[in-house]
Amino acid sequence: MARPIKETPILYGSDARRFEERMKNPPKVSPEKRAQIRKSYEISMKMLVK
Amino acid sequence: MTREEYQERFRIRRLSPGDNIAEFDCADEDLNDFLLNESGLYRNALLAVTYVLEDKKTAQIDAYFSLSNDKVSISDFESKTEFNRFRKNKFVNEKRLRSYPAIKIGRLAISKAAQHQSIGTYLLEFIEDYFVVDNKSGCRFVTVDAYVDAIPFYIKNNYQFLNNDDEDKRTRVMYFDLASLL
Repeated sequence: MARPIKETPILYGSDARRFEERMKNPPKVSPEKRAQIRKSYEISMKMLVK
Repeated sequence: MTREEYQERFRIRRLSPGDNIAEFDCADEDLNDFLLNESGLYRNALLAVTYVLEDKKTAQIDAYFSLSNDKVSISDFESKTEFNRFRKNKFVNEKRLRSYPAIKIGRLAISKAAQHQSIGTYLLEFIEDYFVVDNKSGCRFVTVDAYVDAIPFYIKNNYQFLNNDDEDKRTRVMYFDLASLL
């Protein structure tokens, strides 16, 4: 039997503070990677059976 | 394989009631079992939706992923123990618990035959922009409970650890901030 999909834990203390700091300044992906992500999305939408 | 070659060879299909998956092997028993025996149960209970990457000619499933709504909750408490103590004494102040909407990748697997063709990265990219461009509701993060063996794959795709220490040592919770794409 497959293990259940695990719940995402609540963050406390230093984990919570670090997470919120990162949220304020999300790391940007490179323009090349961003373009690739968009291309993957556009191609996938054409492949997606409606 | 290029993205155009993916398009030529595969289609992406959302599993529907009545779908009976007879065969899938990614060399991991848990991931195989989820698709073959449990994805339908999650779908029927409205807990997770599974999409398959299917060969157009043979209808063979080469990859799949399952998605569920999720949230990342941040507490002002220093620990779970402190949080539970407050809850027991009914001192819960909602402002001390903030939540942000997320989408969870419950499972992501590539069949043995289709591995080492960057299909995993391609599917992650699709999921990420799907929830930026085509989101039906707010969604800030992608979360995943990553197998320890898959951690390098998620790091390569700009995922970070959600916390420093997971109770379950077989997996680590990781996340990607969709604001990175804006």
